Amino acid sequence: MPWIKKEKAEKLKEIFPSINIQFYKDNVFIEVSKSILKDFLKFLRDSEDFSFEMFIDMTCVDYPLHRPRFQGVYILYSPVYKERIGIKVWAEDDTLPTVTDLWKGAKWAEREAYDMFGIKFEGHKNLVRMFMWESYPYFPLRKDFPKEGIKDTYLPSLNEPEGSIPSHDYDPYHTAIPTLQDLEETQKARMPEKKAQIVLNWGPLHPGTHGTIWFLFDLEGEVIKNCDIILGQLHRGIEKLSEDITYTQVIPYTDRMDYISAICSNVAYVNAVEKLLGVEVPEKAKWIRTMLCELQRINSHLLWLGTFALDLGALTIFLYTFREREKIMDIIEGIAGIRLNSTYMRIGGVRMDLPEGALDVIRHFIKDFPSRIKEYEDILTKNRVWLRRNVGLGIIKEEDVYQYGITGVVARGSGVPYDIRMLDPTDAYDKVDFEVPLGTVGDCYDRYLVRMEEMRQSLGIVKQCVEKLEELKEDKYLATENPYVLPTLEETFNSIEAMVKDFNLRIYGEQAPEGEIYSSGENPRGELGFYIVSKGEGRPYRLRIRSGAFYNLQIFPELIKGRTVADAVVLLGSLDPVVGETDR
Amino acid sequence: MVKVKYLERPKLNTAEKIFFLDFLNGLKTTFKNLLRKTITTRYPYEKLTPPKRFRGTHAHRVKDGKEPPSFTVLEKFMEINEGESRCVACYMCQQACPIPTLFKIEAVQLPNGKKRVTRFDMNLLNCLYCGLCVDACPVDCIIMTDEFESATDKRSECVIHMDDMCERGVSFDRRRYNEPDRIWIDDEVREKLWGQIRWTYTR
Amino acid sequence: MELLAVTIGIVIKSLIFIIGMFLLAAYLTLVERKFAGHVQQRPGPLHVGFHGLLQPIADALKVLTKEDIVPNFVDKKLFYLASLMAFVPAIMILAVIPFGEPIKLFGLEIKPYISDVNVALILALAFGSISIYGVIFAGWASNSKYPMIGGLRKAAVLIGYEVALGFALVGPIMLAGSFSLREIVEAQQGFFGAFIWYQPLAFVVYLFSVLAETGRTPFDVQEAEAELVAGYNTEYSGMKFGLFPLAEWYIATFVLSALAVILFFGGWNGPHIFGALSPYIWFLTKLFLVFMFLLWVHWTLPRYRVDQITEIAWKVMLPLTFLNIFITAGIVILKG
Repeated sequence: MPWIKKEKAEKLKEIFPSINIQFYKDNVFIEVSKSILKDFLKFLRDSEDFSFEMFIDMTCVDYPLHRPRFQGVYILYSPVYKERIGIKVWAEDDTLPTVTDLWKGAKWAEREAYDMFGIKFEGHKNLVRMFMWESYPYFPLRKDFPKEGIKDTYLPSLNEPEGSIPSHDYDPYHTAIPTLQDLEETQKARMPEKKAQIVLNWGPLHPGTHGTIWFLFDLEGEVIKNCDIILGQLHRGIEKLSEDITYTQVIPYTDRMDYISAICSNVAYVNAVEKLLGVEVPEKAKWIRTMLCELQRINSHLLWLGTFALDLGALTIFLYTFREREKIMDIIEGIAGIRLNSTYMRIGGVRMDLPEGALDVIRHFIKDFPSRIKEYEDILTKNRVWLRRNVGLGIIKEEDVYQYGITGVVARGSGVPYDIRMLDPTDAYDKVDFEVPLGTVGDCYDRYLVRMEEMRQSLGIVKQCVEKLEELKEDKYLATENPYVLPTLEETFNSIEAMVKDFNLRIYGEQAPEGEIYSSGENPRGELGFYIVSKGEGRPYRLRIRSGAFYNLQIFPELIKGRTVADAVVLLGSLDPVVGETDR
Repeated sequence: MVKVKYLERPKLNTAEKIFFLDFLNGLKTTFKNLLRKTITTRYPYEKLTPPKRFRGTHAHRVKDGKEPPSFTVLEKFMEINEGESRCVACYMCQQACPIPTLFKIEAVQLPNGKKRVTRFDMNLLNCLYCGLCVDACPVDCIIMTDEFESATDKRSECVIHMDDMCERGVSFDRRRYNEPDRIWIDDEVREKLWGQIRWTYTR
Repeated sequence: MELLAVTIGIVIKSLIFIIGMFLLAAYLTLVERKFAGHVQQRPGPLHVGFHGLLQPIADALKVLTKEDIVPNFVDKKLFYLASLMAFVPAIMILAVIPFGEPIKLFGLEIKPYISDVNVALILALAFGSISIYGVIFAGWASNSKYPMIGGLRKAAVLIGYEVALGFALVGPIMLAGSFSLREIVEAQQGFFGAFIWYQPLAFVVYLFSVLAETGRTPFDVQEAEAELVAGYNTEYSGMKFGLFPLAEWYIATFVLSALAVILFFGGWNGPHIFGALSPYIWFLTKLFLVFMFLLWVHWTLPRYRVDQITEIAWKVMLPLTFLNIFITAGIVILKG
């Protein structure tokens, strides 16, 4: 993504003389004081010269030794000029003004910042916790919160005698667990006024919620009058965990965020770190990454199609899509070693070279797949039931996309050409031909059509990658000459220098230069952004994950009001959140 | 080149509406699939051989004469007999692991000044199976095998020790050491799903 | 004495029908599972018996021996009653369905039906309507939100489609000039005598009504698992749970398919190529094909929303049946 140009940023200084502009690599962050934050943001949004209409992310960083302690970071995007800007502000008195009146999408981000850092947002309508329950006493992402958590609850094993130690790192003490009363309080806080007859707890464990999301529906008959979403059932604190491990060790955790498209998450993360470290990736690795990313995108869209159709009662499609998905899984398993959480990417390239026969198998898949897409389309696309359920439901307008920071397929379904692959091509995306499909209405049907078309486009990209990789057979797949890149196994075995480098990098981590960077990739679920603050250590000082599904889900309560429970299933399916990513 | 394209929204025409052609189209597709062969693997009765790169339960390679050059350098400080684990207690796997506590590695100093590994436990309940430990091992000792049926109902059985890791490593190497680095080898079971693939290398 | 003989005959016949129906329903589950499996390119049940032939028995044993949980806050009487109310009416329709013409065996005249009343069709519809109560009772008695919504949905659907179903049947009745199912069959002689050629509209409406009545896609809103977990039987377990799908998906589908064969496909009429068994073979073959068609639809289509279903029932199906009645009446009058 091109960031705002230096000259243009300097122009801002003329209007707001008190601001401080920081450049790092291509990133531009503007530091403003808390008093002018609201005016500044409003100016950025409304001014025609800048028009940063789209809200991308809001987060906080904790500097325990600095006064004031917390720094808020906003990232905005201008759909007119196709550029990004970052705004930093120190939270004096641990408070910040809310920007929910400028961007509705800031609602959850601010709640998350409150939940994790304890920063109060003045003027926020319902500032409750985002992931933790209401009576949870701590703020986990603060630096003084211990990384292993605070042990609280005794959870004995159910089938092993008390007192026995089944393994060397077994601990029956668990961090705090919410009681039923806590959950009741949480539920009340989320939906302060009950409007209608019954409150339906849809989830946390429910076949329609695709994971563990807890929906509260205030029902009048079957019509939803009010809705709220309680997230956090799958919150594992990946952001906190990654503050204690090296950049390489974060890669397996990124797998487990959006577990349906692990490779895409890997690539987005690895690209961000490479940008921070200044590592140049070999040509072959770029093409492998692009190819696997697109295979993974097809895989993810297939899972979406299957479960979406299953939600709508078309049971057979589910197994048809899983048939093709199984093939992609086989390919990924053969190349990376594991079907789902592949951890195939490495900083500076990929873990291993492509094995023999990988391209044959992928070519076979490419030949076979178009006829299978046609099968799905035959059953669904023009089916009158499918049309009745999808058309006109959950229409997201262009303003909503900018207001809520909606990205990915959901944004493109509404006709907003926001695709990171096109705007900020990483890897080999600038060398392949493809089309970005856009919807015209922005309802569930458009999102369905966009995803179907994207599968075809991805297949085209895979085809180009296979052709290119045929030529690149003998190239390097890991930039091991770079001091930040771990050597391959073979090099470690054969040279003592490589072994020492390996030891150093494993123990001290990739000591990235001081700075901060925001970089994102196009995940099947939307923009997956990584905001990394480095203090020159081998571990990230702060790693913020901007999850596409989190922002996309935010519009759900707005859209579902006045519709029925049956529509909720369709709408949720078409937004396609993955709880691993929303909760992180 | 990247292009932007607006999608057309298909609509039902009157003939399709009256004669239920949309339903018939779907019914045709399911019928076509009804006539196709089944593609499932009857799991406990037939099993796919995992690819060689598969990251299953961990194992130790033993000292068997196929060690990499780095092992001969590090071996000088170690007391390792033929057929014993190659582990040189460098703790690199533990360093590389995102959850280092799952390793428990102990080594003792022998009277002759050499080291000997006495304990190498891994608690697989905490393992991510990410393979970083394999990449970190400088002597090609810790590997991941093709064994994946490791479910048990006791926590203590999920902890693997050096002896059974060596055993697993020996059995894995006996079965698959000489196998080329192919995407997968057996095709009989996979062919049900995949059909005949045209391989460009000679089998 | 004669009365006693008739009574014993009817009791034996009823027992045969009921036990036969139980076994049949159990094996229809296997048929459905096998069919669904192969449609989805998997083999279905495979390991209990040859190609899963003993699977229904294993399933029955499992369901019968399962712990029967009755939640604390349910209305116990209605809770127990509901599963019976769903099951009994479905099987009662069998009483009026003829499976063929009477045959002479060992000097006895055996009628392959329990009774041939002259208002058989009305009776069948009436029994069918009673099963609504089972669903509503189940939804209400469970004292839980999902069953409640599921029960109400099913009730709304059933009420809508009972009406459409009833009016759809008027066409064949007018052509045959009788409510007796036997006479309706006798009115359809020869390949082109089957009423489907004269009543295509009624047949389409009937088919949709059957799908709605038996809760199969595109009308399976009452247990739309993605929305309502399992619909009105969410709180049930053990055999009480087992009776719902058994009644709804298998017995009701079977019985309504039999009615479809009788009303539209000429019942047991067909060329006498199998000797004395010919009518039965024809009847069962047609029945099986209709049943399979319903399964085929079930395993292909997505589902409507509940308000769309009732909308279709009242705004599309019902006017269509009226249209059909008028056209048929006109033709009947013109032909004399």
